[in-house]
Amino acid sequence: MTMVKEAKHFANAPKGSGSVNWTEFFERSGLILLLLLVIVVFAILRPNTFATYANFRSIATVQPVMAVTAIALIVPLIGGRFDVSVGATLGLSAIVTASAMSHFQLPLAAAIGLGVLAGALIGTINGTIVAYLGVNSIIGTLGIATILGGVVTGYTNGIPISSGLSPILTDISIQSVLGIPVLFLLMAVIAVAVWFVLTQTPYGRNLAAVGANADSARLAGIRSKSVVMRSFVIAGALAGIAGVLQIGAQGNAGPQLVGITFILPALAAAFLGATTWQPGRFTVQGTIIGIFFLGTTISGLSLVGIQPWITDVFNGAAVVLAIALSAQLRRRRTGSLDIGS
Amino acid sequence: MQKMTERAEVTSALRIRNLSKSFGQTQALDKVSFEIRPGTIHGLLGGNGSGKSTLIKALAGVQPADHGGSFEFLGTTVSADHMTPELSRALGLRFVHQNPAVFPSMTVAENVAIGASFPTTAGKIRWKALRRHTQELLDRFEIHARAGDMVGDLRQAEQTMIAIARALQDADENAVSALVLDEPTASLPDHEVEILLDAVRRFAAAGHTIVYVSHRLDEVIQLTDDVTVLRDGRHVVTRPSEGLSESGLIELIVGHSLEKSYASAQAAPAPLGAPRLEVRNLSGGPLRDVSFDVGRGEVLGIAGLLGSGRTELLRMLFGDLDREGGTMTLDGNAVEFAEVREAMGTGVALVPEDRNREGVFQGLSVRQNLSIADLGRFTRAGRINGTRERQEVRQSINDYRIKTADDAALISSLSGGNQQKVVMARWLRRKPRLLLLDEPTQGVDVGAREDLYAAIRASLSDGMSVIAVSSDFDELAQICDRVVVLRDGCITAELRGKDITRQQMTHLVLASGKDAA
Ligand SMILES: Nc1ncnc2c1ncn2[C@@H]1O[C@H](COP(=O)(O)OP(=O)(O)OP(=O)(O)O)[C@@H](O)[C@H]1O
Ligand SMILES: [Mg+2]
Repeated sequence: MTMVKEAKHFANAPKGSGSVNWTEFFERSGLILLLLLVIVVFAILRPNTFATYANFRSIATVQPVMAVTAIALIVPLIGGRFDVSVGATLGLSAIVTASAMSHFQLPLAAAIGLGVLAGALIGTINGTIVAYLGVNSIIGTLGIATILGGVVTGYTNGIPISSGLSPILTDISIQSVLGIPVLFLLMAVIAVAVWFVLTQTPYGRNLAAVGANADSARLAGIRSKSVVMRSFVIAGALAGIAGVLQIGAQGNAGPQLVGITFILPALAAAFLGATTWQPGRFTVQGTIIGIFFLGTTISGLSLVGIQPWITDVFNGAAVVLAIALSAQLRRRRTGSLDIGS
Repeated sequence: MQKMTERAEVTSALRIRNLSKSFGQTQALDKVSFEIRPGTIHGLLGGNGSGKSTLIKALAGVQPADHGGSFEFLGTTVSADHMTPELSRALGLRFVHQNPAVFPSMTVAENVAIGASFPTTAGKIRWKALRRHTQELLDRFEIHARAGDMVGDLRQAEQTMIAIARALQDADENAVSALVLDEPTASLPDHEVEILLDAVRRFAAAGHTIVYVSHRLDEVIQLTDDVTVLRDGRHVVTRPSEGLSESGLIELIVGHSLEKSYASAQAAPAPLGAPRLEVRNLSGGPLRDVSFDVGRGEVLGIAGLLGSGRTELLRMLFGDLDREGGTMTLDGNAVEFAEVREAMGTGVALVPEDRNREGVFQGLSVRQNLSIADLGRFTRAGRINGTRERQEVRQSINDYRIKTADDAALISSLSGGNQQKVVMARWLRRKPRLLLLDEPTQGVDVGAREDLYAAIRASLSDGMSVIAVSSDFDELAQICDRVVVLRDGCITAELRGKDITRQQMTHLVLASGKDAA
């Protein structure tokens, strides 16, 4: 049967309707409505524990690290590539930063600089492997992530670095400005910066173009390889920043967080985010809403007294569902549903 | 051509009643009703965005129409909102859509089998039988490919032919009662158009019904028994093609008469001063020792068959293909483009042959598609000035009469011809010194084509030079000041002024080396 791309383009196009397009409205704001619903439900179920300033403060303190990790993920994703090493990079950067202070007595600023630089360096390696050596991004970054996991374990012997750290960094999780946790504010600043790069600069536009059609991009004079390369460098640097923030959030640098499962919520959030705001596209706004949806739900579930293993099930299911949903939306936008890559 | 008078007593093969389809605010089809007589070739015509593809997709069931319409097919009535691909196929309808889906990384044989079914014995594919069947099919349609060739390695026109052959493969089993072709010849060269049209005629002669969409009006008049014209989603007329003139048809399509304004043979300005581009002994890929000049404000046509090296030539000039030897001089300066960016930087632009694969960014908006090649112009201090970008893009949408809901609409919601206009506009906006056009008006309707020619002409008076490759030799005759003939990677002839005719070009392109010399 000669059923074709163009033909499928419009298969799901919205039916004509009046002036307000409700389908579109729910599609754009569905996740926000869902987040509000979750908050209302748990607030009713647990008014004394969930619906408290302390609980929301805790969510706003715990989630920023994951949010920055998720934002790191969407940069290469917009260009059509996966970076599954952001969790491992985050772990490495945390260890580098902590070790610089603890073992080498470097000042905080230098330690942070080294941590972020380490992330950018890993990003450069990932980018080179994917863009210039033509390695499939999932496999390539998985390999790097595994190497990093080994190196970190070897260096730390599996023991967290918790002494000799600058208190400015380790106390950051209890600081707030006007009642808003500093970590949350830092996340907001990073989010705005990445939003700017992705939507307001030629680089962001070129990245989206490469993600949409690499051949068209080449013939429009876009250096696709370098664009993809840089998306990994940005992801690495952001993962590095997340690593530094992680020290602040948990007070030490642990070797245990380099695993893949650590970034599962971030992955879920990135794809959940692509089902909202601008459905079918990865956006910083959508990603942050995704993170807080997941974080709030898990916080609520644990307060209702659900077994901890449910968290894993929930996160895993959220990833798969979110990816399936956003693939459906992308089909609506571009007409073709690719088999997952 | 056989007219169907003897079948006059038979009623319609296909009756379309009250067919409507809306996309949000866009009414793509508005209560369209007409009949198609059995065993006839029925032309379906209309400007870009008039609803032809939408009608065909409704017929194929891939995109059901609104409630209220119906199809009556040899006595069976199906309501239009209940049409499914399976039903459509069961009723014997076969389709080749506007962008035929061939699978580039599979062989010709595999592509053919996917259209019907793989011959198997106990679950195992009988490759030999499949290859034999495929080879027969290729021979029948005179497609120069082998069953084992990778489809992605074939050129676009050959891929189209394969999609058509695939749809027609069970023709003789009487399983197919009607074949619908959506712009099958949009990028086919003259000579292959003939082969295709012959195949279509044979098929009709065997009693099958054919619905044929094309923007090439001469071809339509010559081929079809009846035509139906759509305009802005409405049915204008269904009538016999006999007695229709090209200008009469244009009037029906556009709604008013149209001057074919671009008469280059007379208007050809003598190229002034030093040539814009001098190419000497260019070699690489299929090209051998190619030398030519292009003057300022000149339109040079390249006539050649598929595989003659015409696309590769443009690619080399655009820095997208490496050359093995030879020199290129642009406005007196020797140039060597290592990549597309450098070519763009010196004012070269290319409108590529394969719009879907190399032109548009499906999934991005019309605005993003239009501005992607000159983002720098809107960028101040590293930031894109969204307001200016929108303003300029809207200007282009107006200038090139691109039919779209607005600049934020996805490009995939535009009709094929309008997508092509977007790609053209993207490059003309840059005001290039040298514009390379590869099948520039594929799928663009008569009216819009004149608009594009006018836009090109306006830039010519500013000194832009053009190299145009087109399979449509009438188009070359209409727009070119000079035409060189490319055969097997060599330039074999040159035509000027009044000698630039379709007949001449067809002859030279096919002639053996000795004739042409
Ligand atoms: N999914 C969609 N969403 C919004 N508008 C659409 C969609 N599909 C088609 N349209 C609109 O419907 C109209 C008819 O489009 P259609 O593709 O049928 O035109 P066409 O006659 O085949 O044109 P062409 O000759 O350029 O191929 C156009 O205005 C087009 O923009
Ligand atoms: Mg069409």
